[in-house]
Amino acid sequence: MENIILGLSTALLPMNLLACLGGVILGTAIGVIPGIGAMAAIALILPLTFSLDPTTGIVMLAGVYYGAEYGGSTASILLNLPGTPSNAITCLDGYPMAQQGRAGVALFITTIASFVGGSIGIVVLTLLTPVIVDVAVAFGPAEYFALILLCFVAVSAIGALDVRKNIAMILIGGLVSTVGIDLYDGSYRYTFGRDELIDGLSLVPVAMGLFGLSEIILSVRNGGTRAKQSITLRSMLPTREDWRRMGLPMLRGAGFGCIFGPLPGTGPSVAALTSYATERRVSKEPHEFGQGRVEGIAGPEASNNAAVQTAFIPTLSLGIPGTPTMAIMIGALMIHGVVPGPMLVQNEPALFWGLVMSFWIGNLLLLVLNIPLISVWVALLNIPYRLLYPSIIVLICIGSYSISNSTFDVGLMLGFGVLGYVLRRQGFAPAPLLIGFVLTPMLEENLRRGWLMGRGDPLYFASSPMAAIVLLMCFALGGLALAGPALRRRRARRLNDIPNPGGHA
Amino acid sequence: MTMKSLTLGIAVGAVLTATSALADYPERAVTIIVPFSAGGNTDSIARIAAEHLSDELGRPVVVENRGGGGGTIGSAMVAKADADGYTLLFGTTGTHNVNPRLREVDYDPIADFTPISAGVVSSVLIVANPEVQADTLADLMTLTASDAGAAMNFSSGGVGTVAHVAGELYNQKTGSHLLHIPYGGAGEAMNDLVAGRVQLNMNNVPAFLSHIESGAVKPLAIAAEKRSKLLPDVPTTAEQGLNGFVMGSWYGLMGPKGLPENVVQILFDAMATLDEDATVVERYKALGLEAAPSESPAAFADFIAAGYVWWGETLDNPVFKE
Amino acid sequence: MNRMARYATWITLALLGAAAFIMALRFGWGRGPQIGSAPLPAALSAGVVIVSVLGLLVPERGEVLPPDWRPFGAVVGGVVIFILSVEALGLVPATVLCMAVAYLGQSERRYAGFLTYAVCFAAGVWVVFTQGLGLPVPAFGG
Repeated sequence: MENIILGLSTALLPMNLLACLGGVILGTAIGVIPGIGAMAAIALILPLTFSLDPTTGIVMLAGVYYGAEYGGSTASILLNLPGTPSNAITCLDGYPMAQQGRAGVALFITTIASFVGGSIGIVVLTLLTPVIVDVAVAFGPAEYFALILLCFVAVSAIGALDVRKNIAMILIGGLVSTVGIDLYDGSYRYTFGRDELIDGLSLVPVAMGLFGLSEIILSVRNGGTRAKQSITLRSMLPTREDWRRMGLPMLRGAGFGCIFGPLPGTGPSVAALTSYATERRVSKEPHEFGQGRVEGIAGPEASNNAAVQTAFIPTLSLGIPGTPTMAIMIGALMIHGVVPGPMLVQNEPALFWGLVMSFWIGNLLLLVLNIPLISVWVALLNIPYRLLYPSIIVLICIGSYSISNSTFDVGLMLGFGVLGYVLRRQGFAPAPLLIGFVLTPMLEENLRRGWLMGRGDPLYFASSPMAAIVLLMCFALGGLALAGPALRRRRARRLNDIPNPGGHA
Repeated sequence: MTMKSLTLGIAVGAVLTATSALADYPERAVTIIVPFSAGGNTDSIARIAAEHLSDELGRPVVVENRGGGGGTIGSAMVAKADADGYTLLFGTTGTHNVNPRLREVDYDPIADFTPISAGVVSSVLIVANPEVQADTLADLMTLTASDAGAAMNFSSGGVGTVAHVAGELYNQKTGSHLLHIPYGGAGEAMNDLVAGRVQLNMNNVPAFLSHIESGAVKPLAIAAEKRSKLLPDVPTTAEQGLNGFVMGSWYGLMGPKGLPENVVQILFDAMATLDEDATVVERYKALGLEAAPSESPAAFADFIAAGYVWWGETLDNPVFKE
Repeated sequence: MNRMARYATWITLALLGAAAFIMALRFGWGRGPQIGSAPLPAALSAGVVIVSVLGLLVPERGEVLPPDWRPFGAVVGGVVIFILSVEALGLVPATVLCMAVAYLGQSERRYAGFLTYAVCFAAGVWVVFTQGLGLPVPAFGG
């Protein structure tokens, strides 16, 4: 309790409050720009915080971080332009909602789900940090391998109707993810002698090309067919039916976020994926996912934000970054002379608890700021498409360029855009490719690490109760999936005349 | 006119134009390229140094991150930049000693650069999980050389990193068979070390500082000629009978080849006071680092060249060749 | 036409998979408890080939959308011209050129109005990215 008071008294200092406000505003504004995600936003703001007091600087950077995560979902819903894996999940049902003229509702639900998920994450962060740290440390390669395998099995159903197309896309995504220098033996996989490929492909050009650019090519002909957006307050509020549907998915999503967020080996993307896959599985109408289901954004958005908050647990109290963005946060702390690690909470209680409480204030600010902004964003969609799409193309190009200030990534984005366009015309869905791209490296890394640690004994992967149980769950789910086609075929026969629009997942 | 004199003529011409333009160096903002992404170790070190340089030079010194290719893309860029003193590089052991020895890079680490001064030189620290049955390096060497040692692991932030090379060098010097487990970065490698799935890690001090303080890992030895001011209780490798095991990383300022002498001197003078700037010292200390400017630009050049030779010999070992 | 396009896609995928497989064979295969860098890409690319062959053999349902060459050409052209001009000419000209080429993808032709819009947009882009976010690209000139 005294920690919370200490935290609040730190977070509410005028300077820190101002930094928090500035951070979330800047973060949202930068995050909305296609291609500039949380990571780029932090890297850009980082130098500005050097002159600030450490606590103030970190509060601001954290505000930029979750503000940008929030802003990123706006661009995903409005324009199908995801900058992170979790944003790509939001695209799946958020963008169809926007096309149906329900962009305002989608943004409203995102805001509420983010706030609920974030708040639950912060409560967990406040009460359970010591317990979670122990759990996170207990997770080794065997446990991660099992968990990521489970996630793979769970998400395999996302995508187009034709299973072969989904498998092909997952495999291609996996293959694309292997580009670059190999962590284990230092050899070069598919680098074609280019220095730019040594560190592998960044997610941004892949996702922006696959989802964004291909979407533009597909939409130009019919003038970006979508329903006109009404911008009255009434039309932006979720219906009673929407509210009823989003409740449980939000809570479940927040739960997944709190489980996967603090694990340095998984993080927000796995949390959002698991949440989406779960909602699709428990739903009575799984085939409607990908066509604008409220659950499909409420769950992943809540889980993403819960994970974003809880991801600070290993970052601050172990000094172990779960994501590249968190690695930058650690760098920022170190430049300020604050060393994240087991001693941080003891040595700098004001900073730690002040930061935690500022998260909550920041989330409140985001809520207050963004609800009025929704109408502005939605109005943006009413700009004639012939003006809108050339502007979006420029923004995607600059976003890709800014990753490493080189045109190489723009070319990469173009390549994936063309690939995405060609494949989507044939009913392939882009989401499985991205899933393969995100999950395969995690799976390979932990498989090979576990193989080393177990000295080549496959049983190492079932050597802890946790790993063994999760592996069993994989087999059970996998078996269910294999027995599923019979069921699904029966169901598909009934729904034969429902078209699959553009092959969205 | 022979080819040689033609090139000489061009070179002289270039130097002349350069010098005339550089009479009052620096006249505008100076850019330091950090060949890694923002927030990394090199970035932190460079930014702290850049702030000091801004004060000394009276002009803004801006850090620009050009990551990729393990630091080789940004380095190649500076190698090809104009030698006017406005585009500089924060080079590292990785960019100028290790990577050019591991693979083809687009620059010559010695001939394509004008060294100015080192900023930080950091030594390798050998740390163990607290449950490892060894409280001194001597105990550890006995343990790892025994059969029990073959079941032990050491971690690193990737193939060819300082931690990887240190571990393999340790194996070679002590006749041990520790198994190398690579991670995506030094931070990621900490998790399994703290949990005890990996027993040892040999990396630069900053990676461990807070974990040593909390007792999550125990330091056994520092691979330097003399003890560190930051960890005065940790003995050196040589003190405990492990000879020929001195290694670490350096981070320093350099420009493209042919940097005019007056520019080098101005920049060197600014770097030379790095260890007298209280803010710099304090910030580096928090990171587990000490400012260590070189005695002269020539001394830094010799230092880089010596490192290049040492790494060439050390990496000429089958374990590093896939 | 539909069928041709479908075959072409699966055949292309199969060929790409095969190429990736052959390249993967040259990666490291590891030794002892070390799994090399080859097995995973080899397995993935082999999987691509198998799935593609299945795709060729077993007919599928679903419609193939007709190609739209004009939007395709205009969007691709716009990105290409951005790549070519951003470092040579600067951010503002690259933005205007990219937008102008992309604009050709639809049927309306009100260039004067559009170019005015594009120039304003380019100015905004310059303010946000070069001034605000510090993107190291000059507004004009390389």
